[in-house]
Amino acid sequence: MNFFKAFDISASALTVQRLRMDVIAQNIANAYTTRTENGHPYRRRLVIVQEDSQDKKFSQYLSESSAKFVGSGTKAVRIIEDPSPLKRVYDPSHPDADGDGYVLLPNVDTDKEMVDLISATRSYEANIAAINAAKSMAMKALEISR
Amino acid sequence: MINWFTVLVSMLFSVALPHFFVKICVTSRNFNVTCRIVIMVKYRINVGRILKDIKGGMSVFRNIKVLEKALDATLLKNHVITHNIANIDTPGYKRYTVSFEEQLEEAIKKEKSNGQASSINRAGHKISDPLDDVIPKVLQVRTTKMRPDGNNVDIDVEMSELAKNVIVYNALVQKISKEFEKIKMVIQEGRR
Repeated sequence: MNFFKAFDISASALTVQRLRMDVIAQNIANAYTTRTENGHPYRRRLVIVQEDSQDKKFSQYLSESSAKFVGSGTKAVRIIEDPSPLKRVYDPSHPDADGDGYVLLPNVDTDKEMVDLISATRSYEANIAAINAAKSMAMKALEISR
Repeated sequence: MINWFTVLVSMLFSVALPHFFVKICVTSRNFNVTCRIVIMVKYRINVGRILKDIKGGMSVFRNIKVLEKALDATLLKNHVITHNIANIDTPGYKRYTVSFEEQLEEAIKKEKSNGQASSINRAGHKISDPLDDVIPKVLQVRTTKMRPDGNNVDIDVEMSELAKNVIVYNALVQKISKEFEKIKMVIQEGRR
C-alpha cells in the first residue's frame, strides 16, 4: 500500500474542483455573449464528475472484501453544454435581435453560478483539510522509535 | 552524597506505583544513586514481564505486530475517507467504510484462549497465527442516500471520521515507540 496515496486522491479532487471553478468563471464571463464561434449564443457549460478507480472491476474487488482498495479519487470526464432552453428577451435595439425584436441570451443564471462556485470552494477546502490530515499522519509516522 | 531517605521513599513508591516512581527518578536526576536504584527496579519489572512472555512462547515483538496491523488498517481507513471526501460532488457515488476492529479483537481473544502465540506449539508443529488472518474489510454503503443525485457522502461525518482517524494513528505511533523503548531498555540492561 502506498503511503502517499491519500495525497494523490485529494489532489485529483482539488484538480476537479479547480476545473469546476474555471468553468463557472467561464459561464459568468459569458452570461451575455450572444455570438460564439459557431454563431449561436453561448450555452452554459457543465463538468461531469466521475469516481476514479484504477481497476474496472472495482465493485468485484470490494465484494470480495479484500484489503485491496483501488479507488483513486475523482476525475472530470467531460465538459458538456447545458441543453436547457436559451433565454428569449425582448430588446429590438440589440444588433442580434430577430425580426420580432427578440434576442436569444445564454442560459446562464448568475445566481446559480455563484452558488455552484461556493459549493466548489467548500469542496476544495474539505480536500485541503484531508491533505493536511494525511500530512500530519506521515510526519507522525517518522517519529516511530525516535 | 547519598540521600538515603529519598532512596527509601522511592523504593516504597516503586512497590506501590512503578510508573509514578519513574517520574520521581526523572525529577531528582542529581541524586545519582537514587536514579540508579530506580532504574534497576524498573528494569526488573520489564525484564520479568518480557521473560514471562518469552517463556509463554510469546515473541518480544508480539505487541508491535498487533500495533502494526492496527497502523496498516488505520492508513487504509485514511485512504478510504479521503476517497469519500474527494467524491463529495460525484453523482451516484456511494461511500466506503473500513471494518477491522472486530477482527483484531477476535484474533487477540483467540490467541489468549490458545494460551500461546508462538508459531510452534509444544509438540513442535507449526500453528497458524490468528493475527495473519486479520485483513481489513472495505465495505460499500449502498442502502442510504443523502441527496437527490444518489450520493450518500455526509461531509460532517467524513471530516469527523478523518479527525478521529488521525488521532488514533498518532496514538498507535506513540504506543509503538514506547514498545521499542521498552525493548531497548532491556537490551541496555536498564542503563540509559
